[in-house]
Amino acid sequence: MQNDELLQVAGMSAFYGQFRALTEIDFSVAPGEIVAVIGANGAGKSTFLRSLINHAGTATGSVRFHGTEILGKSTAEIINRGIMLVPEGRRLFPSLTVDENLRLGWEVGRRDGMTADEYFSIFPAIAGLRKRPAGALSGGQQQMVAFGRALLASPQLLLCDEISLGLAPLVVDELYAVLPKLRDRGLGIVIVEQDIRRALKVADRFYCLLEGRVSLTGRPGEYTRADVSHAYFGSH
Amino acid sequence: MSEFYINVVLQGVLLGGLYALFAIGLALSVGIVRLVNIAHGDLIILASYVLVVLTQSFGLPLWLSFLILVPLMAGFGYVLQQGLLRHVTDKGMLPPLLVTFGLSVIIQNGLLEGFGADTRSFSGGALQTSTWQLAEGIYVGALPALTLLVAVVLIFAIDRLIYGSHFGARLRAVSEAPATAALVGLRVNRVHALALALVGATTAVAALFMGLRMNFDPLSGPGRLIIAFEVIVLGGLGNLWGILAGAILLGVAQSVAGAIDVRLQVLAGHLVFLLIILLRPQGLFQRS
Amino acid sequence: MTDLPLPPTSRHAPVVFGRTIVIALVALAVSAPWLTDANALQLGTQFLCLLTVALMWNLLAGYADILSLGQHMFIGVGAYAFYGLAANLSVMPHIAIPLAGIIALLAALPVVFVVFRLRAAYLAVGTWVVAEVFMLVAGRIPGFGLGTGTSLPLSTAKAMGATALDRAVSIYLLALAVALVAWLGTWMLLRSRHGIALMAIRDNEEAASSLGVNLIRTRLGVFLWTAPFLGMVGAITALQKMRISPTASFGFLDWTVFVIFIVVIGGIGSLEGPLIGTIVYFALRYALSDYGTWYLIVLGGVSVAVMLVEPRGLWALLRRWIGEDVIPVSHRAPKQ
Ligand SMILES: Nc1ncnc2c1ncn2[C@@H]1O[C@H](COP(=O)(O)OP(=O)(O)O)[C@@H](O)[C@H]1O
Ligand SMILES: [Mg+2]
Repeated sequence: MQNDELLQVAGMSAFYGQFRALTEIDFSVAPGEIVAVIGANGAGKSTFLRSLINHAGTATGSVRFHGTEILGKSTAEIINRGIMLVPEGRRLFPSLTVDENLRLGWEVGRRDGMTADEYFSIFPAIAGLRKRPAGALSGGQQQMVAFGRALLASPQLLLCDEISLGLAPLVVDELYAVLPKLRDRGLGIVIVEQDIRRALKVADRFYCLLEGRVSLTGRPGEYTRADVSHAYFGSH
Repeated sequence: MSEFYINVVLQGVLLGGLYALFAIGLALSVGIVRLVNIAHGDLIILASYVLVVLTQSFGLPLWLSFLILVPLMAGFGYVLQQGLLRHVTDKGMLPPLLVTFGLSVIIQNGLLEGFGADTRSFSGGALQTSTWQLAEGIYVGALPALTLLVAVVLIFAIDRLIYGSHFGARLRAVSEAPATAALVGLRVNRVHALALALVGATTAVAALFMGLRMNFDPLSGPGRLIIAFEVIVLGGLGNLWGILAGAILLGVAQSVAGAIDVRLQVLAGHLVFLLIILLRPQGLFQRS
Repeated sequence: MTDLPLPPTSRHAPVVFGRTIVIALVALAVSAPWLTDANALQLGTQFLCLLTVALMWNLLAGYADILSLGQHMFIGVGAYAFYGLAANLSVMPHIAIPLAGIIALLAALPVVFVVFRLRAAYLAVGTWVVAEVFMLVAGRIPGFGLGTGTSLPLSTAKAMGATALDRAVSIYLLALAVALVAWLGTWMLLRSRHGIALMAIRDNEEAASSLGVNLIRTRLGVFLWTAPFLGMVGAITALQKMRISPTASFGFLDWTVFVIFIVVIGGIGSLEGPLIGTIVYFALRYALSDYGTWYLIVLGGVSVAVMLVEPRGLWALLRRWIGEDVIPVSHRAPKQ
């Protein structure tokens, strides 16, 4: 069972200097699985995702991808092995064109997954904007480009940090509708959300983070709202 | 009389070509690596002395020496970034300035130790002496005209590289948001090092034309740095063609003042620079 | 883990030791005229001048976040002002020196207006350009020796004393007075409200501005603060050398390059750093005096290494051992 996992995290802690942001996280994702990470603001969700690609503070513990230890490897190498992040706040290069932003994903990645043509067929709205500077796009369009930049890197594990943040519900629906298609292609997907309902609706499993620790994990149907709410807010 | 001033202005414009060559590399350092490289002028002088060695000690022709110099300086820029500057690139204002400042003093005194304080220059044969008559009483030297032409071609080429190639997109991405670039898997250090390789290549071009047009000695670097700096501030950062405009403005100011009193030449350049930052601190040609 | 109670004296021993050294150095500096000869006093004058300039440069770079490559402009202005007053207007040297400081301050006013249009690294090179302008202009003022410079009249030297030793003593005492005033003044400045603002800038610019510290005004103030001291150093140096010239009085190498190396090696952002750096500088200069430009290469190499290894210089290493500032600038909570 363990060998089937795409990603296997064991006892991972993360530090910003003296400050411990994550404590002893155990976590896994299988191919074709959507895993949600929920938690309040400041719980450590972004730190967790960014630690997986070695782009946050310093991490200890173990992170195995396809069974190989990747903790401590450079971000560029981890991405090249097949993990890619759609960062919180999209973080496109605003003065670069849409094409250039997408192309960067292609260049840093493995080039054995999604092609630009496939991407544009999934997000036809972007096809007409390819020569525009990314900064001139609407928030939803930017999020689609950020998605594209990640997908064109041909990840086997896609990490999505609050992709619904600040977007209209219709746009969010459109983005979320893509996730099952990606799962069907065999990708493992981790979604980080503050919107619990939306995350649990699409996820196969979930982890709830509270002050840097896993406070609850399982399948969305297993727990009552009160259980989740308790794990989310803590017992105050 | 008016021909006299037309000639003076024309010489200033052509001098601007040389100043643009000094400034291109600094503009790239500042624009891509966010490095105000205090040793930029000294890199140009270092390149000139490499040419001195290749032509005089090895007896190679100047053109061949130059072809060797370009990759040498590019390699030097790459190694400089990877070996030294990357340790201070993201450390705030003081460390990069002070490290390049120390480097500047090391290069100057290393050259002084190796070559002595004598002034040098290159001989370019007929290129240095031939002039063309454009109209009745109006002349341009072949070498100054070629310098300006090379500056224009170089700026055009670098502009195309940066705004029209995949590599250029990486340079812009790293320049615009280095943290994001690292987050999506760009090797920021390598991109910076490649940018410094490009800078190194431009110092080779600057060194060739400087040595053909004027004397230099081991301590000439700071003077070149100041000119390059004035040019990029005047031209406004983030605009390569602004460099050419800033350089020509500085060249014309110096040339006109020099025609009035030769000792005023350098001072006039500085004064124009200071006047313009008083009036337009964002530079003359800054977009938006 | 058990906490071994250290005897209180042993915990404070390094600080006491450090302070003893500082006090001994001051005592030595004050008594030097009675202990040494004219040559040593001239070296002492150089030391004090360089120390004062290093202190000022450090105040800018280490506290106000202003990196200047052009502070030598005020040295030169002070030297030329001194010449104008002492030689052309026959003002007594002891009066001409503070006046030279005031003139340097007046010169700093328009400079501030121009260079503070530039930010951060640009300001650094901008100040250098302004210093070049001052030097080029100084070389064109009639009555000041133009490009080659000129000597001070003998009457100015005679006003400082009858013998070479007398002159060396009076000039040394002037340098000592300027250095002490500069140190005490800067120390008090750092302990004042403005000093707290400065250290707030140094430690966290965003926090400082959100606390309502007026960054620009504080920075401008510090820049102006340094000018009169630099001007007086320029005047004293002109008096000591009995010469002014554009290239020497506005000497980039003497008054900016060495000063930067001194502060970087000694330790940016502390009052101890410039002192340590100046001592190290004189020691290196002495040790490497037979090796020509090599000592510049060594100084450059050491300061690059310092920036890579410990950007706060030798003082940061020493401080780890001592445990607190030898010259305390920050206010601590009052002890019970
Ligand atoms: N770059 C950083 N430096 C220091 N602390 C950080 C940094 N980024 C996040 N933190 C801290 O780590 C904790 C977790 O933050 P984050 O991972 O962004 O939480 P979330 O994404 O769940 O809102 C917070 O307390 C936050 O203040
Ligand atoms: Mg977050």
